[in-house]
Amino acid sequence: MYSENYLNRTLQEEGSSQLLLSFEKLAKFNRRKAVEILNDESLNFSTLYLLRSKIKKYRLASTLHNRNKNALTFIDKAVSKKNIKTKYLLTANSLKNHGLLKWMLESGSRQDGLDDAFDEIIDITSLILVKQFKDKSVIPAIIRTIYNRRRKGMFMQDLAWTLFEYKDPDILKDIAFRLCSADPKDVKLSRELISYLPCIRLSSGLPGFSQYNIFLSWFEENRPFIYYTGESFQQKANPMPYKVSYEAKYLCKPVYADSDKHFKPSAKPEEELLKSFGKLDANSQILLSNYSYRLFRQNPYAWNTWRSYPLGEQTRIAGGMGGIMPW
Amino acid sequence: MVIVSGSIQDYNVISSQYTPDSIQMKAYKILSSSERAYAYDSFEQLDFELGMRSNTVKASIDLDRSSFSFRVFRKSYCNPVFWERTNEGGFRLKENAVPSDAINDIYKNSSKYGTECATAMVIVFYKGLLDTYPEVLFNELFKSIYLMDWQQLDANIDINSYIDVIDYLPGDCRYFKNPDVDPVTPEWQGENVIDLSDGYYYGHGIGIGTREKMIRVLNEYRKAGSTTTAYLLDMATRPNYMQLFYLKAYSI
Repeated sequence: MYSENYLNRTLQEEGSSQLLLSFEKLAKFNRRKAVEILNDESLNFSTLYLLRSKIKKYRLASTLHNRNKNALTFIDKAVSKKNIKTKYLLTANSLKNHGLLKWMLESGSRQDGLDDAFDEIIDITSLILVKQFKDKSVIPAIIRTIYNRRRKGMFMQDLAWTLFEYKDPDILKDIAFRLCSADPKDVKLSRELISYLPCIRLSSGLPGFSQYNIFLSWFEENRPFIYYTGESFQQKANPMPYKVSYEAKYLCKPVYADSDKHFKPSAKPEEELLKSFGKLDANSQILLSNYSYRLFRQNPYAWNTWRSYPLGEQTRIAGGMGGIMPW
Repeated sequence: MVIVSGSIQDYNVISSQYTPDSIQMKAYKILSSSERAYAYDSFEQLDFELGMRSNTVKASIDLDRSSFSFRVFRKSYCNPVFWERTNEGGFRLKENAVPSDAINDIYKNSSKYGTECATAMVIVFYKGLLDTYPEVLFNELFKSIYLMDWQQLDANIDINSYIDVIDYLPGDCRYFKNPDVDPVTPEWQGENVIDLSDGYYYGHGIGIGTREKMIRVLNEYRKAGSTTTAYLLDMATRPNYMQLFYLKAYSI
């Protein structure tokens, strides 16, 4: 969509130096055409970013349409980074802001790596789109950028944090999908980002695609009970941004994935049950919750009966079934 | 309570080993008055942990007093004599550099260094250990140090985070979380700090202060209109003191 523009094409095919030379020539000898191409809807953000000094030199800023003007203002403020806050980077029009940021990220991230300031702007736009606008449609661009940066050994921690901050367990699926990548660096990064999931930990040593299949079974089994913890790479060595609530799985009640209070028992008997459940060791909790959820799906009546038994009896029956996945 | 070689220790016997205001004494008081039993194989093992905690606190105060700067990873910098700055902003020990010299240089030539808060925590843990260990042993064990938040930590120092800890001790790394941070300043999503004792913490970028100060500063970096405050997590990050002690004991 953004690649047909002459300036975009020059950047993609001949690099940034040639882009600057070509644009300089155009601005000098055909100012009207230069403005027309700059204001073309298909212009990429990365192209505009690289041309900002020339736009200044040839005093073209006032001839730009609003999207480009706002993008240049955003760049100036973000690069100076003096006591800035999101609200000072954006205009009062929330809808226009959203469109602007989405264009900056989606058309800009294709040339990620132009320089540190540009990459930082990509990080900031991603964060605002995710944290403020809760825009799921930008997740693929963010994931693509994270993996591209890792391949080049560039800084990607803030973007990885942004991705997790979307607070949706489905992003685990997007990460796991890259276990099937032909690029070993992609596979390694996926393993790192979801290494804390029991299905990945217990299947280490298997090829990526086998791990992906194991992940899918695990995900299908646990999806309703996965919640966001808020843990990050800044906080600890092995963060676990997403966890399964075994309490919720035991009671067969889906969690609120994006909330600190992801799960709350609804009645006194459930509270009592969970108190006893909480005293069990981790393996027994997993065993019981797995058995509970399977029985619930197979036969709700039998599940109700089983749940009325004392915890010891529940454990005895669940343990007797055997063959339950260790997560 | 503290158990050494299988016996509950007399508070007065152990406390007589340390000066009343020392970090060792403050940490020992917390351990001995705890409802939890802290077991050590020997007095030397207990003394090692208390000593390293004390050195970690000192390393934190020294780093705060130095010219070591706060920089985001994209703008981090280091002394190229000892460290190679990686593309992602971390510092990798150069092949020909002596590990102890490289860690000491961060303190000696502090103006040549700038990075984020988590990396500063790893630096003070290494410095705390270096001041506890014989230099030769440190250099033998830590030949390939990488300094970038909590990534690629050396297995010998074995730093881990523990949740719902009963007792927090001087020398522990704690974390203030800022859940509503402004997207423009992701570096303020939280602050790693070292517990200095007596209610004071050191956090790189904020400095030394109380819990209230840490929270107040982080709250300034929240997104506009947010009423969700930063808070201290019930979590402590610690090196594996027991492993470090035995690595030292078996090396002699």
